[in-house]
Amino acid sequence: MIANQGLSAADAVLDLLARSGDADGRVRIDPETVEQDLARLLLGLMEFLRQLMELQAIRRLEAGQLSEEEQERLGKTLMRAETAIHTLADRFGLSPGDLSLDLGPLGRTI
Amino acid sequence: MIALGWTDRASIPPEPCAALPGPAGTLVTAPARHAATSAARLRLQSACAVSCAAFLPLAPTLERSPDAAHAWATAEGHALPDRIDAVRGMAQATLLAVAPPDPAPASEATSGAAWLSLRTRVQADRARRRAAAAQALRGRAGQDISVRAWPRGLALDLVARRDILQAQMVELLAHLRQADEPALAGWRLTLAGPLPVFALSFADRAA
Repeated sequence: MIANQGLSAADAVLDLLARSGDADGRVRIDPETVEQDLARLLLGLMEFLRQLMELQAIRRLEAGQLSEEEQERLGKTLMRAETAIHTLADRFGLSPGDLSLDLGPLGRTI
Repeated sequence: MIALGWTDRASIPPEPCAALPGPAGTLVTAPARHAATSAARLRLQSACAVSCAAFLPLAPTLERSPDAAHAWATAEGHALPDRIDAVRGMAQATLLAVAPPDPAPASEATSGAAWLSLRTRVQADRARRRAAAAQALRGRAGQDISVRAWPRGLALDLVARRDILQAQMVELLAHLRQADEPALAGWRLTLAGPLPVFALSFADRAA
């Protein structure tokens, strides 16, 4: 529990903003680490899209809109896509947590 | 100039802000160099909320020109005077509850269908944990307090008279620190305030 009673309102919320937009999550390209930064950006977007597709698949499954064959095909595709993205991320020294991108006021991708 | 919020004609905003009367309401603005970021706008809005008897903030995350804000007020701001009156002497405290990471799935799936089924259960478990946490927060903050979802967890706003809000925050902290609540285990709770009354801000992005 962090209580900000002792801070001014502005400082308290600035503290919140600073922690939600910490440097590690920001989309930024550094000349010294450009390959890793680009990989992080691209893989982060791919993982974001994969998770959106996963949520859509879950909704369709819960609505009874997927046949057994479709469940198998969709599940296998999403599972392998996740493995492939994590394998590629690992090659660039990135963990799955690094693929969460901070889009400022729009929030984080995943 | 950047628009920060609305006030009544009698209020005088603090430096470097200025009041800009218009046909539909009095806009509080700040020079762009002082309000270039969300954090800077929030800092100015907090100062305005202290100095002005009534201050209705705009969303600090979006930059709006005074012309755009006045145009919105002229076209759609019929409720603006009432809303400004509603925040007179009021302030807000916000409790942010950040959810802990989802527990790792118990086992690796061997087929696509099993993997999808496993993820469905993870999703359902997450929704159950959030519902239980929301119920626990309501139990501590009062059943009439609205708990809303946000991408990283849950949030609730306390809106009260500025002179009693601090006491309500202390009371809420005491409730939250009481006996362990299993539904909130692992959640990170942050209570911030007093803030301008963002809970009553207009939802319209142009506002």
